[in-house]
Amino acid sequence: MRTCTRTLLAVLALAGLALQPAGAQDKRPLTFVEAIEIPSVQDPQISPDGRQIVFVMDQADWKANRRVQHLYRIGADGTGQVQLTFGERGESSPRWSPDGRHIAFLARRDSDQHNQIYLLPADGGEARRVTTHPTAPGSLSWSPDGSAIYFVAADALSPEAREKRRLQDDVYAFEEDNFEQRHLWATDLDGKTRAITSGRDFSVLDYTVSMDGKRVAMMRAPSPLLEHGRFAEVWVMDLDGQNAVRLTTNEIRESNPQLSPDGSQVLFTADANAQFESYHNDKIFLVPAAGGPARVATPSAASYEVENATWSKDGRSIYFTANHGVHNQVMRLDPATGQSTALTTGDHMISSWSYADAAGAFVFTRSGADRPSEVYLLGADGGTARRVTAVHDALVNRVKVARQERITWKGKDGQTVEGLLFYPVDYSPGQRYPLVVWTHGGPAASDKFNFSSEAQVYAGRNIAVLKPNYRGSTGYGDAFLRDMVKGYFKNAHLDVLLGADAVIAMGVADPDRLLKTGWSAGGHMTNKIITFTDRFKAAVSGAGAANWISMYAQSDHRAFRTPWFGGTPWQQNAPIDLYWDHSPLKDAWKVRTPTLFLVGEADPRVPMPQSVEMYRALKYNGVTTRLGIAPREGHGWQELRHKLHELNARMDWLVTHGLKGTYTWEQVPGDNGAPRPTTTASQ
Amino acid sequence: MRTHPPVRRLVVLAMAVAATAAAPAQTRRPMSIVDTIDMPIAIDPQVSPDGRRVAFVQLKADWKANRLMPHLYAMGIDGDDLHQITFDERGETSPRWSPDGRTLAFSARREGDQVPQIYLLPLEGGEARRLTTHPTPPGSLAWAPDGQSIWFLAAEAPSADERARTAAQDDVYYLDEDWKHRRLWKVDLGGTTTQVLTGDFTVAEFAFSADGAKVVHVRAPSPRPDDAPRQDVWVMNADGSGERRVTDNGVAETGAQLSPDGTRVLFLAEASARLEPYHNARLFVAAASGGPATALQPDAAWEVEAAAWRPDGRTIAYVANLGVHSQLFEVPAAGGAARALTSGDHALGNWRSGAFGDVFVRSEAARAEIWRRAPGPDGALQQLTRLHDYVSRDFLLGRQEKVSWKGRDGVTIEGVLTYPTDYQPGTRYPLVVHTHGGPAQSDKFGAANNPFYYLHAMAGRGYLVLRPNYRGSTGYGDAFMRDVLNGYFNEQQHDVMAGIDHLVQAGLADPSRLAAMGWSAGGHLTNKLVTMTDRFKAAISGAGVGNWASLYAQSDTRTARDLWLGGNPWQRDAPIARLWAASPASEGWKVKTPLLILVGERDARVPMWQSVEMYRAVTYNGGTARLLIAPRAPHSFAELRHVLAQANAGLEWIERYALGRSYTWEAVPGK
Repeated sequence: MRTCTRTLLAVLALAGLALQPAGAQDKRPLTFVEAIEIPSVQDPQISPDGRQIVFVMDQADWKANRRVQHLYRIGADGTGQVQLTFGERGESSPRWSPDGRHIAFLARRDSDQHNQIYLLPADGGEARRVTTHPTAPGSLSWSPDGSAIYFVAADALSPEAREKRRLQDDVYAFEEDNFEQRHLWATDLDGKTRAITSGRDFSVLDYTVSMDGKRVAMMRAPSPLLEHGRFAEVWVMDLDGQNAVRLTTNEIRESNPQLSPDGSQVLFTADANAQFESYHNDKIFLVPAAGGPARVATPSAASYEVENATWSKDGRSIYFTANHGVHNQVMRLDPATGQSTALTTGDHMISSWSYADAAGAFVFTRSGADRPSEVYLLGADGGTARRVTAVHDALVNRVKVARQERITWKGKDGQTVEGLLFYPVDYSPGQRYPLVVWTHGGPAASDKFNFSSEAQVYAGRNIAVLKPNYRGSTGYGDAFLRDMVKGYFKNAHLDVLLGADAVIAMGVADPDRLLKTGWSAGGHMTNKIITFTDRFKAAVSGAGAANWISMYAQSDHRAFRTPWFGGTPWQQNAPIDLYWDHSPLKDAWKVRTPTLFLVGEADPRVPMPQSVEMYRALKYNGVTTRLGIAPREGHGWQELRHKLHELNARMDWLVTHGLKGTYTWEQVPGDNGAPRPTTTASQ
Repeated sequence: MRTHPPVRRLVVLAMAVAATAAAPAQTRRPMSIVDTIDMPIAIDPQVSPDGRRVAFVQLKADWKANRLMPHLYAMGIDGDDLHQITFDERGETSPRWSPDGRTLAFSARREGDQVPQIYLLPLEGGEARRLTTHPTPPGSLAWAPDGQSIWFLAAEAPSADERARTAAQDDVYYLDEDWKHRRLWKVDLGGTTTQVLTGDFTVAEFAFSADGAKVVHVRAPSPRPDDAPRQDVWVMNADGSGERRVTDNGVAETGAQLSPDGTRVLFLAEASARLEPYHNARLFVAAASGGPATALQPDAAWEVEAAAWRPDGRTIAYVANLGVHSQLFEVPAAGGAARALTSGDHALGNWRSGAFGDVFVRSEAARAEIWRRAPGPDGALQQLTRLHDYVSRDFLLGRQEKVSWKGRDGVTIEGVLTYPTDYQPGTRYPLVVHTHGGPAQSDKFGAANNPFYYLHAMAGRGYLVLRPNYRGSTGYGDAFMRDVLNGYFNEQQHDVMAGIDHLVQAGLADPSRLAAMGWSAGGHLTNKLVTMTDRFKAAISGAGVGNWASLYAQSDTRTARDLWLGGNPWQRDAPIARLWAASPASEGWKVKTPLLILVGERDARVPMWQSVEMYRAVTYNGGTARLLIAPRAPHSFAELRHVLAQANAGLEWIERYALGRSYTWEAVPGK
């Protein structure tokens, strides 16, 4: 096995840092720049012999103004970590060949117009480009015999369409011709490709090749647009393109279709109940591969949300990860008995989970209160997961890490509600601290134990942070999730306020220094809270909804919103009062809380005009407010300078308006002394 | 007096030759959309100080550049010796004669320029030279009457730090805070630029007194449309001293001009005589030293579009919109009866007046040309350009005619009807009703080259096109215009339907082949029409409203909407029920008419989200709709390929759904 000198030096440098544990008294709070610079560890893949793991790790490239990913390899025993790839634009999606001799990955190199599939010999030598596909391949997987790599790619534009685009003859028909269908392809190792599916009338959104390599289970939808996801259905077909059969017909969006090892059944997951009504915690479904009714396979009493699922090699188990609210776990389902059991325990968040049947093990990343994500290995029988990487040793030795605690309280109706409390790093019992109530997006999601670098910076300034899993969150059963049906703000906002009360009752939070923030559904919530109470001294609302009526049309999907309000705003006898009564805009005249709004100019999910509606309402009514807009950004800000602006602006607003303090903006490394914008009030 | 610039005259000769021959009728053909777009457009005529020459801008479709390309032309005051005088591939605009008549200033972006700059063309020979290297584009060019400087308006430049952050894409911006004041500058003939006025205000416009001693100008809190009602008229000495506020009110003054003796100021405002907003624009006169402004002809039904002092200072001339036509008038500055100087089925625009009389662009059914009216009470009218002689020679055209009918409440409504080119009395034709934008505007005779109407292309395919001046239009008195207040859709939609019924009863229109279309306020109205009736077989809605409540915040202006809808959506006890009831999307379930929706991705006035709301409101209820979006395009499409696409798509939609005919898209010329 060879490594190059540059890698060795890098590893030694990291190791050297790790060797000098700072005393607790030397530790200092995390900064926003450091938070952005924390490398993210993703997509670990075990080699077929179980001895090595390749994974993706990114780093902040301030000059390129983005994160750049590279491939790394480490022994399963945690030794010998090396960086495998060094391309300027980065690499992603490493996939071991079945014989373990190659690693396929995606990269855009040299003259590539977009990503292509590359192949890296596992035992040394440079990577070579396999495909020269006209569009970017994604969702790679090897055929079990190692002769082909499957991928999904959008159809190429016709020469006429390309020419029209070049000439800016580019008026387009909304949701009719402003997308290209996506289809399943195979390439051999010399780059000779063949289409497995094709046609203008559907897209392949997800697929899994059967273990014998002969068939494939897939999800087909009329288009790749989220808008049409509700028409997605599960199909199976032979990999030679024959015998395509549709297995479902419903209005839910299925995911993770997989044929059982014996080929008799297909599992999939969907946010539905047994009657195929959407807007429930995700469940595992099974459907006969020859056709027939699908059924829910997970226990009817389960309150968890299924995140991802896969068959065991013998077909007698379905492994999956499930969200239990403030944590998630690897679990096993016995499809014969319908019983599920957890294979892991602990206060953590598991991501990038996969089951390697050859190695008979699970590999995933795990983050917890004490450190950001690292790679972990777990045997198929469960037990204690073993940490493989030590990427963040230096960080956790250097910074003061906040104590993180699960707390519970009762909602107005007596329902138990959970949340995560981040203590100020210098917390001393008996003293009260400012509290930021930070509501998650979704709302069909949950906040889980994890490092939460931005919350760490607040804790580092001795501001406590509460992340409540308010009504509408996942992982607490369908009734909890569906509290929002036929009226969004029934208990959700009350749960949030009672959570703040709970932290006050604990003696931790100062009731006179409450602050509010959140993004997406957390922004909806922030908008609601400021119209409902003056208790918060300042608020920052990211990409939140103001007006459910206009939001319904603007967003790129309507899947949750129809159940929330029980119909469209435009149907005959529309439930328009419900739409309006639950719109923060309706009560905007009541707002007194200074509020900063932030949104991406290209946000397709909660588009910018929602923030404009809320901003103008506050401005008109004389409330201190600003609306910051990031060009080019979608629903979450990605460019590093935008991200740092967001973190600075939020802290500045909350500290300046909520705590009457001052805040100095952190600068982009290398921007020496350039004046920074300030979020000081404008009336 | 002097030699003409040494420029090429081929274009002029070619056009003169073309104008002479009249083709027999059988060789004429219907106008295509491309023919419509290709019609040259003359704008901005400027007469030389000696009154002997006219410079103007001619726009022609440049399909390669994908836009209308402006170049400067010059001709004698009688229209002789027409020739092009500038030729740069990126075009030129804003010709302005120096007071001595020896130099023509203009605006152009030429080699090395980051933004357009002011250029000076010596009329005795030689090429133009760049005068300014301003960081932002100079606009509203005007020579100081002493000829020593050119004054202009330009936005404040971004700071070095702002530029650096933009370059680094560290470019989060804050809504309503990312504007720069528009400043007044002067540049001497050596290129030295100095700012004339400083202070926390934007200069919206300015004009010199005849002797150059004083400058009247309009100051606004910002260049944002929402702040326009807070702009006011000021006067100062040309050296910057003696600043004095003339008006202080809640309406937007425009077109301010000092009287020749410098003692009075005229201006226009869309206001009542008591300066209440949202009325037909009136002409006001105030003392330059301040004091109350007096409306001239406070009770006139028409809308004043532009006004200017006559050289004697005793008379004011103005162009007034009278609904389907506009005319030039004179009125004593001290008040009294006005006298019309023109008559006819036309629209007058781009008007300039001076000792030479008046020049303007006169639009008629098949042409829009520059005309001159000689000075004096009986000054003769003379056509100066013949850009469109070829139109009536080469094409079959639809006749235009004023029609009038009664609204359901008995009020008389007018419109301009364009007939099919093959019109035969006694035959019924499919009818397209095209509603104008604004709604505080009116449709007039002409519009032959308007590619959003494509009137003659419609006429050539056998359609009648009715352009109704529905309630809310200007030129018909304040009560007519103000019918849209407190509800917006009060009578306007009924006025349109009554106009259709009128044409059906007259035996002209086929009631089974009706289509509706319109842009902006005409799109609002089209959206409304398809929710209230199934009589239309096809409809096209450009940049129309779906939901007033969301539009209220989305749009770059709110000034008229408070009045239209009786409040905003975020005040206490907001009239949300009224806003929603007046929103076409709320009745999306009623739409049975196939609806084509068109909008620009960068529309700031009626943003694309409105069209998305309307599109979903129709399609989610099983209706037929298609939403076409033009990338980069603002409230009105300007890129030629976008302009052609919207017209192709529109004709295809109407041909298909109203007539059941197939349609082949016209191609871009030269492909």
